[in-house]
Amino acid sequence: MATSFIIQSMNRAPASLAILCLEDEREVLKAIIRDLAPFEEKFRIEPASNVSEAREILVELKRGGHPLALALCDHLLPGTTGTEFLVELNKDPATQPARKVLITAHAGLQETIQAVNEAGLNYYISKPWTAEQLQQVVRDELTAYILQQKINPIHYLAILNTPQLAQAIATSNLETDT
Amino acid sequence: MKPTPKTTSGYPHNLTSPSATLGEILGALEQLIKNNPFLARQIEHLPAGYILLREGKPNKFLYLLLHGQVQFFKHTPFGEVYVSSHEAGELLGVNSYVSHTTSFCTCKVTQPVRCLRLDPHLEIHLSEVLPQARKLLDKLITANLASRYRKAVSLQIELIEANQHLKETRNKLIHQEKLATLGQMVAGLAHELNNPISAMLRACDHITDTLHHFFTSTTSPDKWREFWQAGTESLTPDTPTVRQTIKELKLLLPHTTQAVIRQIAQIPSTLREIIINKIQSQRTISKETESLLDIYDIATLIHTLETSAIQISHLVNSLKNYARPSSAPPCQVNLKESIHNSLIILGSLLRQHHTELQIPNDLYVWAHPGDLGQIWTNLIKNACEAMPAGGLLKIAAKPDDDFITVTISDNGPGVPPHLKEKIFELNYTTKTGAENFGLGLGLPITIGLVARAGGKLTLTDTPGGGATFQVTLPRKAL
Repeated sequence: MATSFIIQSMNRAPASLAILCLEDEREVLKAIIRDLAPFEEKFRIEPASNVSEAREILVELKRGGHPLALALCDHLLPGTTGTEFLVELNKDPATQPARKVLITAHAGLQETIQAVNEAGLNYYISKPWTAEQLQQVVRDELTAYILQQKINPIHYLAILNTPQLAQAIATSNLETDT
Repeated sequence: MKPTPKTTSGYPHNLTSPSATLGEILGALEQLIKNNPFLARQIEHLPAGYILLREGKPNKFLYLLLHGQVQFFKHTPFGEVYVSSHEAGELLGVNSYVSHTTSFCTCKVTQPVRCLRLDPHLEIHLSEVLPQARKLLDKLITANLASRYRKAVSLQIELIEANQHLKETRNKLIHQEKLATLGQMVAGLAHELNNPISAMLRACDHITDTLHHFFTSTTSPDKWREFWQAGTESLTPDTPTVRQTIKELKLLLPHTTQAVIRQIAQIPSTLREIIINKIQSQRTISKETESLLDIYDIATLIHTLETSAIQISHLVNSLKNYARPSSAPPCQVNLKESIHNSLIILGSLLRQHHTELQIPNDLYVWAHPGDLGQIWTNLIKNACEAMPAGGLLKIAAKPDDDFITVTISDNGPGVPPHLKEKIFELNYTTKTGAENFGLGLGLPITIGLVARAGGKLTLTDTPGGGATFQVTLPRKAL
């Protein structure tokens, strides 16, 4: 299994993975995107300021063959909540594997429980955040996604968690050899 | 009542019937005492202040109070407590006389007393010699015990009611105390926050001035001024626009990195043309181009700092008004401002709803500003919580000569008729979840605050579904 995935993925250029950021306050969204700049080189970063825009982006990503690797959502959104949107992502087989992070100033216990139980929430960042913290969370989550989806880690060695990815490569090489 | 028929022996024959009044029984007894020297000898006259029974001391007599007044007292951990007072027709010492125990209470004469003193010997004697008198006494004892029992039961009920009332009052007080403490904390916090916010705003101004000076000085390249100026003035474009621009830019500038393309997509189109031309002609991003983009960025970042600091200072002002202590005297409060402050405080809650405001600008009500804020916050919060899936919140104000009526309507499920009264009661709540918990104090306290302002709070249905709370408040001091 491991052998075939390495060979397969080595042979084709990786489709760029997408990071979706959903936040209704423009300035806050801009700040998040700015902090995600280190990932822009290898990932498609898609900002959305409301849920319908986010859905359109998802359709576009699907059409372009770009899997969603990470959804970063504010909790309080006009007319809905980030948690509800994450639950929606978790129900769709196309976006179910995406790592899900809430970034919020407001969610209560009830919403957080729902996010963990129904949306498969992977991480919770409470506002205000720092660039280092946000980047570390994104790095960890993207690394987890790469490993979990068995995507060739080579392309991401430099910007994600290098030791973890390097070990994954070593292990699969060992498997290839035996 | 018919006059009581008299028998030849001088007392009424139907006194043992249940309809005989205390006065009739006493009258008959007095008659017997008058005609019977044996009974007359048992009459005692006691002055005010005389202790008839002493708590804890043995008592062998039963006293029938014929005239005057006595009072009962009992020792308690809080000192001697008044228990009850008794007048003609009452029996004293029943408890200790019947059960051969010591007196339960101390009995003090408060108005000179005339009483009949009975002991067991006399009782036996009476049964033999004067059965009529014996019957009358029995009747008195029975009536006395019956009334004591009734009293005990009603006292117990009173006690339960008092306890319940005490509990409610206690909860209300605790809640008010909590709110007061919270108010003090909020006010303190608001004041503390003002300093750093002022410092932030001043720093923003200084940075803006300094950079303005720097970017627009004669030695700086012309384009610096242009990009700086544009950055301080323009608004952040919306995400779909940026996305479209990024798509176009990717085609125009295929070798430029994502991050730089995103940066270029944010700037106004006239400046964008300049940047695109530069990159295309220079085939790379020169230091000069980078500087221009950075200058634009710096300007927008400072703008963000400033608008965010201003946003915080508005919030702080609203909190300060909201948390103003209600011990302050009532005053003329601008209605729109007061409601607006509560809306700012509840900002996060309101985001899921559409809000429609119809409040004229120059309406004033006479109230405690803090109370008023709490009234709006409670009612708006209730309305929002009635529409968990989002809905329409309408707030309108209508003045008449002396009062202003503010209506706060939601289009949630409304209040079922059988709960319309209940929701105003203390400790009634529909919010039992761990997160969305309610003490059932919101509306009762709101009613209290509205009443204190001399107003009225009523509940009606929103036409087409939902609940509407009406607050009527005076325009001037009452």
